[in-house]
Parts: sequence; C-alpha cells; structure tokens
Amino acid sequence: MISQKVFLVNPNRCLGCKTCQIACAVQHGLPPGVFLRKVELVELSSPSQIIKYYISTSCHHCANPECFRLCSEGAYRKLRNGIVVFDQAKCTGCGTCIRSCSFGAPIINPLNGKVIKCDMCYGNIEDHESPYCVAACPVEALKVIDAEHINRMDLDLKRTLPGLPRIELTQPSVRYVAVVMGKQIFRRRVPREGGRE
Amino acid sequence: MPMIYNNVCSGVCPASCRLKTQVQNGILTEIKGDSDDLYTLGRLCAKGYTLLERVYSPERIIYPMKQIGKGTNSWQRISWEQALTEIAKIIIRIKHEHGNLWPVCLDQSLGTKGILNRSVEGFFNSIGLITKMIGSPCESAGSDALMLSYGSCKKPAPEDMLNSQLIMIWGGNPAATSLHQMRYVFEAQERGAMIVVIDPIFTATAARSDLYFQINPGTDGDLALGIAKVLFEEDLLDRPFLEKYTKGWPEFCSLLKRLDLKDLASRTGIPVSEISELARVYGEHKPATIWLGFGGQHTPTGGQNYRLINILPALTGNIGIAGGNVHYYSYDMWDFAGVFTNLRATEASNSQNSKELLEHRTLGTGRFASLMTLDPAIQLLWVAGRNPASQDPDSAKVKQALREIPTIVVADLFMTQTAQFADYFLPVTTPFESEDIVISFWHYGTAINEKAIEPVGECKYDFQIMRELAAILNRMTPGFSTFPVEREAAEWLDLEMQKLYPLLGIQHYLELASRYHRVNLAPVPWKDKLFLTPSGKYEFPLEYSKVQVTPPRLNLSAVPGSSKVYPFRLISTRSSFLLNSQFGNSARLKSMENSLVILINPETGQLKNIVTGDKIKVYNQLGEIGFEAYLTPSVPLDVVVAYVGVESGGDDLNTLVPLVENDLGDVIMGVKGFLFHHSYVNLSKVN
Repeated sequence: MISQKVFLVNPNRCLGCKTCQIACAVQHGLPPGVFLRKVELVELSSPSQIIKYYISTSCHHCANPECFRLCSEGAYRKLRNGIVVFDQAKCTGCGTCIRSCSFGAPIINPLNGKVIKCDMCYGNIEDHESPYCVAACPVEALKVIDAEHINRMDLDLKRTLPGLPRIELTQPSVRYVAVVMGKQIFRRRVPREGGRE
Repeated sequence: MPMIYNNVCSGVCPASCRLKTQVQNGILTEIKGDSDDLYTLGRLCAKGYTLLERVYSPERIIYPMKQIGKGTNSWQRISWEQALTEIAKIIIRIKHEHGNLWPVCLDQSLGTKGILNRSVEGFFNSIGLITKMIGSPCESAGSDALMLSYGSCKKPAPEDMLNSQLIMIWGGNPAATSLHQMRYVFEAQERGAMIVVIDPIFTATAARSDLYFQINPGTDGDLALGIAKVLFEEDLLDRPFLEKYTKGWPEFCSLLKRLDLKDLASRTGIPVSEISELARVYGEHKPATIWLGFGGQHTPTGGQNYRLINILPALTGNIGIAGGNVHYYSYDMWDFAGVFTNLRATEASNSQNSKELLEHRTLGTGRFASLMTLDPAIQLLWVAGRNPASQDPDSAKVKQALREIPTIVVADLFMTQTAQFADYFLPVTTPFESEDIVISFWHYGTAINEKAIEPVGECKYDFQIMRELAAILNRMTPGFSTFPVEREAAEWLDLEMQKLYPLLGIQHYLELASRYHRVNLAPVPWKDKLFLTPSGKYEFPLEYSKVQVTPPRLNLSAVPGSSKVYPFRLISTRSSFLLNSQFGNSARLKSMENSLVILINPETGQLKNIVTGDKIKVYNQLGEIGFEAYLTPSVPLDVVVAYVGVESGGDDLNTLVPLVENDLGDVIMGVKGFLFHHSYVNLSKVN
C-alpha cells in the first residue's frame, strides 16, 4: 500500500531564510517573482510574550482537494501517494481553482497564462529523492513524511498553528511541529541619561 | 555532454559553500551546493541560488569603461590596453612629479576572498610605497578583545557546539548570517542544551532560544559584569582555573566587589533578578559556550564590552574544554606564505628623492574625510573588492571625497555606488571564470574555484589585471614594478599555499577539488592552557580598574544627533538576502523580500500615525533615506532597525551613520574599528 505523502514543517527550526522558496523557483525555471512556495513570518504579541515563527507553505496536497473537485477541465489528478498534480495542457486559465484554494497554492504562470502549482516534485519522490525545497533547507525544517508514520513520530504534531487559518474541510496533508517559545525578558524602558536616554 | 566543475562561493560569509557547477557548450547551466561539503551538506542560502543569474546579469559590466566627467554617468567603452596604459601613465607621472607614490591610494577588502585577490596589494607593494587604507570595518574591535584576553583569536571548530550544555548567542543573528551553524545549534538544543540569546532585537535567532534577554544596546559590558558579580557572590567560579591559568583575578575580583548590581542592571534594562537567573543558568551548565556575533562590538565601548564578556568563560573554567570557549573569529587558517604581501619595489625605486619614505602611508579604512587632508594629496585611488560609498559610515563624506580625487579606478562586477564616481571601471570575473582558492574563516574548509567558463565579455580576474598593469608599467619604465609578470596563477597559488599544505594533508592545491578539506586547526583551542598573552595566562581586563570603578561609560552628549530631535537609535542588522552591498541588485531576491524596510515598534507607529507599508522618511543631521515601514514588536520602543546594504535612490543606509571610532581594533589591525549601531534618527510619514 502506498501511503499519503505529507509535508512536515518544523517552525522550531525554520530560520526564515527562504532557501526552500527560491530553490523551488530556480529549479523549476520560474521567472523572478513567481513562487510555488512561500515563507511567511507569523508574529503575535501579548504584553509578556511574543509568539514568533516562520512558516513555509506550498500546496498541501489535501485529501479532499477543492481544486480537483472544481476544475471543469479535469486538469487535476490525485496520485496514489496523495500528491495532487496538474496537467497544464488541459488548463484554460479560468482561475476557478485559484479562487477555490484557501492556501493560495495554484497561481497563474505569467509565462503562458496557465495555472502552475507545487507537485511535491513527484518525479523526485518516485526516485526516492526529496523535493527541491526539502533538499535545500539548511536546517532540515521541512520534510516529507508518510501519513502512516505520523502517529509513530515522537513529536507533538499539529494540524495548524497559532496565527494560521484552521481549515479542515479539505484535509490538508501537512503537519506542523507545535511551536515552542522560550522565556523572554524584555527590557525596562531606560530613561535617557541627562534627559537624553 | 555537460561538464561538472568545482567552485566555491567567494563572498565574505562564514560558510564559503562548495559548489558543483554544470557547464554545457561553455555556458553555466546549473550551480548547486556540493553534497560532499561537510559543513553545508550541499545546502545553500537564497543568495546562492542567484549566483548563476549574477554571472549573466544584464546589469553586469563586461567591458572596460571610462567615464567622461566624474559622476556624469557618461561612459565610454575602451580597450584594456587603453585603460591600463592611461592608468600606468598616471602612476608614472605621479612618481615623476612627487618622487614617491604616496599620492596613490589602495582601498581593498574582502568583496571576494580568493587568495589571488591578494595580488592587488602585491602589485602595489611591487611599485613602491603608497597610501593604504588599512584596518577592518567588520570584526576588529572584538578580535582585539580576544587578542588581549587570550593572546590570539582562536575559536572552536563549528561542530564543537554539539558538546555544549549551553550556547549563549550574544550580539549576533546567525539565523540570517550563519544558516548552517544553526543546524548544530538546533541539534544541541534537541539533545537538551539550553540556547540563550542576548540581543536588543528579538531576532529570528532569539525567537528560537530557550531564554532571551533584550538588552539596552551597547550595555553588553554591564551585563557581563552583572553576571560575573553574581557568579562571584554565589560562588559559581572555577577557582583552580582562576588561580592557575589567569592573570589579574585578585584585582578584578576587588573591582567586582565594588560594583553595584542594581546600577549595572538599570543600565542594561534587565532586572537584577533576571541577571541573577542568567548567571545561575550560565554558571550551572558546563560546558557552556558563548557565540559572539559581530554586531555587539559596533558600539562605542564595544571592544571593552567584548573583553568583559570574555571573562565569563574564565570565571567558570569554560576555556580549553570541549563544548566551551568562545566562538568568534580566527585568522589562523589564513597562514599564507605571503608571497604577494612580501613583494617590494626595488630600492632605487623607493628611495628616490625622499629618504624619509620608508613605509607605506596608512590610514584607517573608511576615513575618507581624513584622506582628503593628506599631504601630498591623493591623486589616484584604486578600489577593489570594496564599495566604500555604500559600506563606510557617513556616505555623503565618502562620496564628496570620491568626487574630489582626480583619478579613481574601480574593479568590480557591477556599477556600484562607488563605481559611479570612477574614472575607469575595470570589469572583473566571477568565481566561475578563473582559478583560485577560498578558505572559510569559520569552518576552515578550503575549496578551489576551477575555471568553469571563459570570462564573460572582456572581464579579467583581479590577478590578471594587476599582472598586465605591471607589464605595461615596466614596458614604459623598465623596472618600475617588481611583480613577477611571467609567473602563472597556478604557481602563485602553489607558493602561497605551501605553509598550509601540511595542515590540509595535501601535496598540491589541485587535490582540494576531490573532497572537503579543512585547515586542521585545534577543534578545541587552549586545551593546554598555554595562552599567547605576555604573561602566558588568560588576562583579565584591568585597563580601567585603576582609574574608574566601572568600565568606560557611553557619554551620550558626545554622540552626534543623540537628542530629543533624533530620539531613535538606528541599528543596522543583517538580512539573509544581502551580503553587505552585494546581491542587492538581484531581481529574484528583491521579488522575494523587500529589504528596504525600517522596523518600528507598533507603539512608535501609533505615536507617529504610521502603519506597515507606509512610506517613511528616516533622517538625521547627516541626511535622509526613504523606507517602507514594517511594524513589529521585535524591536524596542527607542530603536529602529534597517538592513545593512540597502540602497534608496542612490543613498545607502550609511548615509545616516556618523563615523565614530571603536575603542579597539588597532591592536591587530593598526587602526580602530568603527560603529554601525550608534546613529540616532527621527522618522516621519511621507504623504
């Protein structure tokens, strides 16, 4: 049996360096400004603590993909390993899938006006290699795991994180390691010496 | 059939990533990280993925150019023969008119770290005594602090952090500057090591720490003394180490007794109770290591502050043990034979007319206003591997000097802010276009740049430029330069590497292509506790203890612009998407991250009616720059933060930074360093 492939994102390691984002773009030959993966900063503050982490997001290869359901051209397919792939030859560029996706995964490729989307580098996966993004991460903050292993992992895994949308309808194939924030000592306001600091 | 070549990213970055370069029909088709690189494991940074675009960038200058009228942007393509002949004529005329070459000035730094780049200095040594801009705008005050404490800058191997129970990252943001080292930090953390971060800004590194302290900028010495006082009072000291291996402990101890912890704490902004907790955490985890960033030393007392931080491993016996010590910087891996730097002009050439001229005239790097006061005045400035109009403080004064110097030669890849003032632009090669060797100052990995492609356009390597200029000079005036023009690059490399071969375990530098090689320095320094100080012991900083109770304090009234008019301290920090002023012109990196932002605390934003995305003018007595506002609780109320190397309408961040000297930097380098975190500004919304 082939298990569903799942992106495992570890915000406790992500540096926000965006190497995954650019590795994907360059190795897919995308023009500058076009990205199939994005790293974003989440920063939430309360008086005593800041929750701050970076999150790398692409297509979540949902178990119930809306893009797949709504595409009238049948351009989407879901592989046996769960990867949602897209056939550009069938695409009319109508944008239905773009509007349907809660994660902004499908985008228009400005080079040909058709949709383009993360395919988890399924060719690499078939060759037992990592997607470009995973292979590029200098700190191993991003991985691809088999869904059947999730429960066996000695990690506190979440379906969403504070500050991220909680979308369960489509069952995104992504798991996050629970964010850990340390103790933070913010300084007292120092009066300026002689009225200056 | 594609060919694969070995290359190494040559910018001034700790990682010096080994690369595998694919070439098809003479064209670079792919540049990848080399998975045999034991430090990077073949992983690059975002900048690394733009290296190929950089080689073929339409913005790259690929022919020698002459500017008709400085700063006019009216450039004429000329031949190398014309460029070098005209420059040679100017050098000969200067020599003829002055009897010496002091009016010729060299400003070179590590824009690229290849060994053959040392040929630029070698060339100038070979023609006589010139004016050299010396010193470092980078790490020099901190390096001196280590030099004075231990007698030398030594550091543990990167992977020694895995042996640490506690890693205290102080004054640096490796999440932006040392991605690969963070792999070791996380691995240590997952094994149970505690990660402590001390920084005025809640950085991406701080966000991943177990314990973060937001320190008042520039008070690092006060915090170190506070920790030391608690370590002393709570007897968390390694007394045998102090007695056997240190000098000055009794005097320093009496200083500690006199210090008031409350006073120290109030200056740092960190409460006494929290300093005590930090001291206990540091004192009770052993081995503990301190990773000092380059950021914290760019304050007025930065050198002394770094000396004071370096007392902590001495107090706790964390020196010379695996997992301990201080990770900062080392020069030991660059122990070259010095064949370039040892070049000398012939005696006749030097002593002509002026017997007192026995040495190069030197001036501190970045001191362009002083440069203009020299007598005899500078008539020709050669800039290589540097962009002073962007990277030196008080950019307006730098640019003023560049406008006034009669002839400026800039050797570079792109039309930098400095090159805009050049009379001659000499286009140089990227690391893929000529052979060289690069040694990492962080992990000592030593890698080769194979010539993967022919130079783009008419670009030449710095080495080739200097060699041809020497030949032209000698053709016009026999014996003008002693530069051995017949010697090929390969022979130079072999000669320069001779002393390092045994430490690399190789016979010839071409072996570097085969696999990861590292200069074999001690992975744990000071194991023998034989320090290289005059006393042979670790030396406590006592310079000020006789005259003052506490270390020198920042006299704010002496800070230009520090007043109610300019209430925000500007801290310039590193972005992952810039390397000094390099990579700022990459369309891809720009599309991924807008680096031209000013980080502002949300309360400040509220006060000034500013929201994220607003156009902002940041100004002080030196000038003004336009930014986009980004509100974040990660910066304190009285601080604003911008990224090193950003440019706005031709003006760099350093337009707002006054030239203020560090307290150290001159012990190793001969001139003091300078400050980048000591500028005061105000800001307003642009409507």
